[in-house]
Amino acid sequence: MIEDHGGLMAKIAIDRPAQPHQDIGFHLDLAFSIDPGETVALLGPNGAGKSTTVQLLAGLLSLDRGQISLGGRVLDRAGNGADQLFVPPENRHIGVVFQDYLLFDHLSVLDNVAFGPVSRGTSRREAKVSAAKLLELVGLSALAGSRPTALSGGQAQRVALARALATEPDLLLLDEPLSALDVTTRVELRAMLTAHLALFEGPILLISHDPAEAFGLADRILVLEDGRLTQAGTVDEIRRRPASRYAAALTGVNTLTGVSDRGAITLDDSRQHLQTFDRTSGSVQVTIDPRAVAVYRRAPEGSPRNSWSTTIEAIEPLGDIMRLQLGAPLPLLADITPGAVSDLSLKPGQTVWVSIKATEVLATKTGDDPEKNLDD
Amino acid sequence: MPPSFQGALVVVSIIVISILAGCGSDGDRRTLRVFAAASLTDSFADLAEAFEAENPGVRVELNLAGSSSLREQILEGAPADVFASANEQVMDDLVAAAAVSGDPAPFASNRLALAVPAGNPADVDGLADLADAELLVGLCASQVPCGQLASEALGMAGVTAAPDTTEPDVRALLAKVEAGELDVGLIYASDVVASTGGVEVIAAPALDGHSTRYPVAVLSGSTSPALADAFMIFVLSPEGRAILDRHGFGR
Amino acid sequence: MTVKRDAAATGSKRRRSHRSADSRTPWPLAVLAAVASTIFVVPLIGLIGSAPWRDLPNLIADEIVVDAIGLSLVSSLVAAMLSVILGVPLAWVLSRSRFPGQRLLRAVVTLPMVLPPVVGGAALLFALGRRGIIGEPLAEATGFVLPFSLWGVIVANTFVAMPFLVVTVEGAFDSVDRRYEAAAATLGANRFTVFRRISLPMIAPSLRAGLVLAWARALGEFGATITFAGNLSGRTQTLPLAVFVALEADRPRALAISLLLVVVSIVVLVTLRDQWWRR
Repeated sequence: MIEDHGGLMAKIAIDRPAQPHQDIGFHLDLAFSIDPGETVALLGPNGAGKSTTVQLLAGLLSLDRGQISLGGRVLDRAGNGADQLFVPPENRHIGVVFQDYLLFDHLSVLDNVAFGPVSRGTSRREAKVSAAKLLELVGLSALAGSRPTALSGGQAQRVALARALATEPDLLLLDEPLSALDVTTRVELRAMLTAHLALFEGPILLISHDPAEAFGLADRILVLEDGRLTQAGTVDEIRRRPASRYAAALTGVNTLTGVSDRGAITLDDSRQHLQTFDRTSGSVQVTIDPRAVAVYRRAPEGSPRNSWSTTIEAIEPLGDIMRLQLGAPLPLLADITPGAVSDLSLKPGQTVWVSIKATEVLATKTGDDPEKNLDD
Repeated sequence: MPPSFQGALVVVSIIVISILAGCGSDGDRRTLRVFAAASLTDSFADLAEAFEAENPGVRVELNLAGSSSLREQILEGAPADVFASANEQVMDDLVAAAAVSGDPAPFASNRLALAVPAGNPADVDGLADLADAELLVGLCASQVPCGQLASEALGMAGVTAAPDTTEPDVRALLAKVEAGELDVGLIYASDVVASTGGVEVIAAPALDGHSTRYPVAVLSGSTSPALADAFMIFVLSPEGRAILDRHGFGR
Repeated sequence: MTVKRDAAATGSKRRRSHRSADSRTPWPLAVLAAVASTIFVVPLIGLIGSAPWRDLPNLIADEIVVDAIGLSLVSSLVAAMLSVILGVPLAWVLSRSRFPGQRLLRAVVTLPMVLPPVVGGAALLFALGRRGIIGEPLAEATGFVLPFSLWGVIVANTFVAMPFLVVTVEGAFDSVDRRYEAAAATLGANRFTVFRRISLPMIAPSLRAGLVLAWARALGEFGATITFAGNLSGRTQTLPLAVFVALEADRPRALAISLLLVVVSIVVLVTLRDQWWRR
């Protein structure tokens, strides 16, 4: 199927005029492309049109305007008459990992993974063999005979990924793949996803409202707000010039790299130490939400492990909150309320104490041996 | 329970209670309850109407059903003044149970008739055709009076019928012959009269001489025995006789 | 599939029979529930009390009764099967397709649940009888006459029984989480495969409940059968017909057959209800 470009070209639009008795109408209008091997995140707040985009790409909804093509093959082309075209979902070869996985409870884990190949005409025996291999890859061979109801959230997520990959899709769609998981599992799973997405050769579209998830997994970010793309670019590009308040808030996430030794991280640039609750070892990417960075005038009592003194380099208002730029030893962004700024009478150049709970330090493995992370 | 639901419950209860109370309290009108066999449906409707016309202020309530189910109802204590049965055995049972006051009197008889759909599509020409396995043949079930009469008549005529259905209700049998779903059926002569022209009768001399008698009696549980007597006398009167004749009943 | 999981959870809780404080019954409910139970229990006691226990084996071993048992089992089971084979697709169409006249069709399908069965039997006779709209050409072409045959009984049974299955299964199709079907489609399953491998297994509990309801309705069917298929021992006389005819002349036999029907029904309902219904 993968011809000339091999990637996804999508120019999609949906017009839902306002209905009487209903709220306002909804309009979705965006265009983007994804190269094979590239992971693009579509990031936006709830109601921006992310789910609609997934449904349009998967063929669960049809376009009002525009065209979707994948690997040179047109999947949906709006219009009247002869040039109109719609390929139903079962013929699109698009693997979807749904937000709450939608595993089939009446089938075993193995049969869930084998479902796609069997539906496409592979013999049951062959399909089961390949399904078993995929389960081994995601580290769930032991659960092949279980029902999905017996799985933990993280395990279900991996089965859902294996099921989508089993069809050897031309495009992989991940709809909020980690949002249904608790924080601990999310961190583990993000590492596993990174590893498996790297092995997938086609284009990948990740749908998310969680910047940490998007920045951790994607090569490129599309920011979707109110049905329109407000910005597209690499994480760095967006960080440097956020085009909207929403983008600015998103990219405030502190992203650092370092090496973890059972949860004790030594950061690459500053040699500063950070403690995280995740006990894996190796190269990691660390994300810290600026809202999780607490600022004090004096050294906090009870000595949280991640605590040090620093200076305020700049203070800028960002909508309802104030964003502090903190200096050496570790440049970080911290978001606090304007009230706190005046209560603590904070000013640029002032020395303050910073503290971050270990549970707010999210480490994602970036090393060469991702498989090691998979053994639960 | 939400208040509106409670309100509805009260209203419904009041309606139900007033309906129940309404039953039986009929002011100064006198009501006569007549239990009659189903085959008397049309003739007794006419009889009741004529009786009401002659006795102003009297209302005749008809309860029509199979004779045996009426017997069960009477034995279970259903309020009834007069009983007209299509079967002497049933009446005898009631006499034995002392449910009858005075002697039952026969007031009518009914013969069997060989009925075919209008036009006689299967060319039935006699009782012997009831044994034809090719034809769709209907009889009354042997448990009901018309079925008993039929097996008696067929036995005497030496015909072994090959029925495709044995209907517990003679009117249902008539309906199936009328509709042409059956080629031939053995029903009451009075039912042929009741039919609205959908059936023809094929001459079958062997059926003559086989008839069932209809007895009528006043019941001992009657609450207005005088009126009940008057009705019984009316049924046996020449005027009543004329109505029964009109409906195809013999003497 | 969340629904199913929840139901299973309540089911297992019930089985463990913990009596929490919440299980105390408010007295108005208890009183009304007791009245309701009486309505069902008293007639049963009446039947059991007047049953001719001593002659029961002889009465039931009678050839007429044995024939009726066989006919009842065959016709009700075949009708239940037909209800599934034809009713499930109908339920799917009613639940998922949109076409003009759909509401009317839904009403017509459920009509036999409301209609007196005798009326249904008469309607069948007008349609499929020897002089019926379909029956007449059929009889002329093939010589096959539906009324007064075992097939007539089966048709009558199916007519009154299938609506119970259709209504149950349609409701189940309505409440299936359609996202699972969408997920299956993205995995390459065509619409029939989605129906067969996803939708149908997901509604399995309702399908079983509908099957039992339809079978029970067919087993007890009287009015449409006697009107459409007539009454002939050994050919079309099912147990309910045998009871009705026996009531005219042979009360002990009527009671014996009734008792037999009650026992068979209770055994089936009790075993199936716990195994299938609640899941």
